[in-house]
Amino acid sequence: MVSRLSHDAFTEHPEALEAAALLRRLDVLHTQAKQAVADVFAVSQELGSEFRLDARFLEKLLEVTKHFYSPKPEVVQYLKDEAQQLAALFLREIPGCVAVFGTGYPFYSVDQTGQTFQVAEIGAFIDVVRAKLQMHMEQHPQGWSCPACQRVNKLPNLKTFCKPCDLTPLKPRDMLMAIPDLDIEIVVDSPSVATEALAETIANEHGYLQSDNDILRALLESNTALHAIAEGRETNAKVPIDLHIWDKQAFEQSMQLVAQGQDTIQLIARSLHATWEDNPFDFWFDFLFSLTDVAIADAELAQRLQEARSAFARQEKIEDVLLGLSKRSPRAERLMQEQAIRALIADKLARWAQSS
Amino acid sequence: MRKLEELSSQISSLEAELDELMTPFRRQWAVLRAEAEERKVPLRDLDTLVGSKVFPAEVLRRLLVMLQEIEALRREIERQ
Repeated sequence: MVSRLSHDAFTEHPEALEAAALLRRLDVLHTQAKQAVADVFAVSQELGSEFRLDARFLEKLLEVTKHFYSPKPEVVQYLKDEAQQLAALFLREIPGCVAVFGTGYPFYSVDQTGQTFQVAEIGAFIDVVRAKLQMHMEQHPQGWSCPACQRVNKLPNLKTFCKPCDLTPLKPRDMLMAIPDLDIEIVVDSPSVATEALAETIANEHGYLQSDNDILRALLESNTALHAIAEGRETNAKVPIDLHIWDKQAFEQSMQLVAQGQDTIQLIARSLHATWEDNPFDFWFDFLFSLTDVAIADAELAQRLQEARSAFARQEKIEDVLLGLSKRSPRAERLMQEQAIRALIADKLARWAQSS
Repeated sequence: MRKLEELSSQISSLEAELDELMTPFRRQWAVLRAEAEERKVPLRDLDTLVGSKVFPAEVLRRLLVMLQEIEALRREIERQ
């Protein structure tokens, strides 16, 4: 019956038959292209096999990463100090730099007094990465070659180039997203290409590196930093940074839109991945979820920020905001299911509403 | 939505490109590997690598993009 129906469908719709034939050709092509990737990768490995990372190193790195995310005020303080240090550098050395903000971890999990809590979502993500590492080791017990591949092949963009490669279940971005980093937003009056070059140079000169550029270096540096922090030792090693430049005018307009009740605001930032790229921010979400003042040098901007926060919090119901945040993405939904995060945001909104 | 003939022609282009990309690559590295084996040195220490014309970097980048293009074509055909 099924084959009869299929046959009829193909007879009545010859284009369906043609499409099926094209899909078969694509399957063959896909298999050949994957084999080609494996062949090229084998050559890459032979040319750069000294960079292969041992699984025990990665296991220990994930272990110390999990320890890092356990609720310890000193760990949060370390990240906040790093952010302060960067902010001081940017405000001093970048012409037109008026403010520096932090987003993401740890900013959404620290209260006014510096108290913090365990974020279950992060622990769950690290466990997923651990499972991928385990799967990788079963397939490739000799080690993890992605850092070597990146170096030998000078791959510039891990999002684009590693996504279709299925030689390993453990992608570089899995590791890089598991280890802590600092998300820093620099607000600059009329930023230019020169601003980007200067911000990158200043950060790099002081030992702050973006992770996408060199996986091996990012992991080794993070490993040193995280072990030192876990053992309470001083270290010059740094966790990776994610740098974003926001145009002051666009930032102020976006703030006003939030204050006016708009909830779909896209702020195009310039973000440093392997190179500087346009990067759309879900501003409403970031503004409410984690945007934290690290340093503001422009008194008028600080005033407008406070007004925007206050205006928003006075007109919106806390429950509606929490619901809106949780609907933003599957990850946001998981994070917003955590009572401590909800309580922290509710407290923040209550404070904003009381401020004048 | 593009016609199936157009999609078919695009698949043909990719098939030809994969062949043009990989045939010289496989040939060259097979020769270099054999040379390294004969001289009993690791491939990366072979001094004739300097004169190599087909390095993995460009090939790998193109292949990874090609895999994305194949997936995009598949989605387009499935939508038809």
